[in-house]
Amino acid sequence: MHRLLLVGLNHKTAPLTVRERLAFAGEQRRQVLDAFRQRFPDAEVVLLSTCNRVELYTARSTHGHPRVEEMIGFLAGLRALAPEELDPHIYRKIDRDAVSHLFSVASSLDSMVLGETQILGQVRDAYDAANAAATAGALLHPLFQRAIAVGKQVMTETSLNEGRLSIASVAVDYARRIFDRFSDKTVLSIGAGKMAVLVLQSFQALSPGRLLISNRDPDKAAALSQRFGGQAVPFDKLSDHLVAADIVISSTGAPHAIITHAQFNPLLRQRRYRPIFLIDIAMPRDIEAEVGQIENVYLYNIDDLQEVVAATQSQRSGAVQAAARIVEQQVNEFAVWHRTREMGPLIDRLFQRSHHLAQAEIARAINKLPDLSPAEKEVLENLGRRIVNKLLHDPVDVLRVSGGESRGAPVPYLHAFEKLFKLNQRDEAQPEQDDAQDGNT
Amino acid sequence: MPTPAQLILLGVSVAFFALGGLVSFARLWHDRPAFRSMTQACMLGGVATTLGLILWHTALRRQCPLNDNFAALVFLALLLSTFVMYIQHVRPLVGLDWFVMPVVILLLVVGGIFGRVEYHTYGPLVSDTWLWVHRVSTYGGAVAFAFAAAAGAMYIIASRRLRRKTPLSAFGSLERLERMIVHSATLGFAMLTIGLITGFFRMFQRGQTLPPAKLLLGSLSWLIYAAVLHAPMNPRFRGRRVAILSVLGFLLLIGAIIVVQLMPGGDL
Repeated sequence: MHRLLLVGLNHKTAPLTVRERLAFAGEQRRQVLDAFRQRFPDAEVVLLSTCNRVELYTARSTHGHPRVEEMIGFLAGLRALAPEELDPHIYRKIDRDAVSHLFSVASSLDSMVLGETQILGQVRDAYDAANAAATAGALLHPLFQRAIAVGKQVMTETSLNEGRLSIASVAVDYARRIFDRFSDKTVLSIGAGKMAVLVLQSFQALSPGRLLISNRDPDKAAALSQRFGGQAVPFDKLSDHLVAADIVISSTGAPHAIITHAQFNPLLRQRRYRPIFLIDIAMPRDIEAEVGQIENVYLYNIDDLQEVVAATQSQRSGAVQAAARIVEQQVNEFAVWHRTREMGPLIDRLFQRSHHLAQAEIARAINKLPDLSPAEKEVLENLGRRIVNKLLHDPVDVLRVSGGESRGAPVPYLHAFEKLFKLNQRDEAQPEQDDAQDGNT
Repeated sequence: MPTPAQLILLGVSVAFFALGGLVSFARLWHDRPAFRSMTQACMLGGVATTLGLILWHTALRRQCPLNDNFAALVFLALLLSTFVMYIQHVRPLVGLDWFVMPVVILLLVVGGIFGRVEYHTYGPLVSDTWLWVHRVSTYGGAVAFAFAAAAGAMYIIASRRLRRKTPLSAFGSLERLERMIVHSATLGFAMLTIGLITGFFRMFQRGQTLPPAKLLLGSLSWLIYAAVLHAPMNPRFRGRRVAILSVLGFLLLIGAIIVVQLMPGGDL
């Protein structure tokens, strides 16, 4: 039997400072998956790492590894943290709860900005990365495929995505509260990723005087500047661009801050103390928080902008309920599918084992009765088979019926069957205590 | 002394401005078109009532306006409110009402109270050009500084809210507010300079050697506004610092105006 485990943290449980320490971008995700596979070769894994969350989904056999605490230790170890540091921010979910959580995430019901569509792409990216690393298997493949389908269904069948503010529109709105005219302003984009494109699209509508695009990869900067009619500028002259800029949009994948207080403070004089609007939408953050303390510097990070967007959520409670209903229904359907899938092999093993025992006992009895004719032997063998079938009929029937229900709890039945009839093929040296630990989360 | 009927009209005017200010404040939470229309109607009602009061007062005394402190303060309130109305018509700035209306109401109330207790006169109407230049420049300057101070207060609050990540849309942009401060302060500074020169000139003309308190306070305000206007030369003096100075300068100017009311004769 498979068990699905989720360990993670998000914007509700962990502040930005914790999330950015644990964020994994691009190639780092692949390294995490490889490291996980190396440590737990029998487990499936998918890593979902976004601005708002880091979640590790694992599927393993019931008594296999990793346990929940091992997963936390693994995550902490990747960033040289003590598990105790992460523990207060971590949530743990198992089986149905984990499925429900993933479907809610894919539907953006768990997002800071309800109805945002970006999360669906991020779930897909996480699944693709696991596919590429061959770490998704019999359970995580269907789970993530279903999650992506649920996300799409929610977006198309509810109005969750309608009438909401975007981070880019909030950033533009805030820029209007600092600056009156934009024809004499310079917008600098550091980084050329998806988020930068989204924000630049909104800022383009303000018709800024100059648009500078700086990126470590000059080709990307050139491509983006061509698209937005801007000017690609070298990344190594960032200080010069910061002197010229009035609005800075930073969204690089750099692991450390690229604009520090020590670096920015000396530029104030050259800037003639002009106000500057810094939009840091990178994870981890590109701009040190201390920069925002400087006079005439207005620094907003991803959480600041998302909170504004989130404030509009109460207006869409109807859509939220509709989306939650879809998620609930899909979780039930997935649970039924999963139980059915898990049940078949278990029932097969149960019958095989019981028939094997019955046949062995009948063979022993026949050996003690040497005068039996072939017809009598056949009668005895049929008797054994019928007794086994009749004995198993009712419990198996209960198992099948409960497995077909949308809710109910056949998982404990399955576990009970495994244990009572010794159907687990694995080593059962450390079973119940660990599962109980997992189950308590 | 203003007649009871004039005082009632003054009360109506204050009520109009107060109601307009309150409705404008309510727009912070509910920016409905009805509230906008109501604010405009109250402002128009207040301006019309104040104008009617001045005309009535002038006709009753058969004198030109600005010849007594009651008329002067009411006239100042009229100028301020008219200018607010103009701004709100040309390019609305909701928050401006919240800061200028209290000043308008204060001027009307002070005018009513001092007019009641002791009807100060600025002396007989004389064909003294210096006196008229002095009056026009000081009152014009006061109006300009009131705007600079209102914009300054708005800048301080808006900047603070932006830093706390809870900005207000009613205040417009910081850039616009800073421009309002600098433009209003420039105009006010020029007028205050003329007002001070003519004030000192009249002081010497009268043979006085020590400047009266209002001239001293006016000079202090002048210094503060000089610092405000020196901002373009020293970029460190921009943004919030300019805003704080513009508010301080206006507080001093208000002090000078009140001192004038408290002085016997109320004139130089």
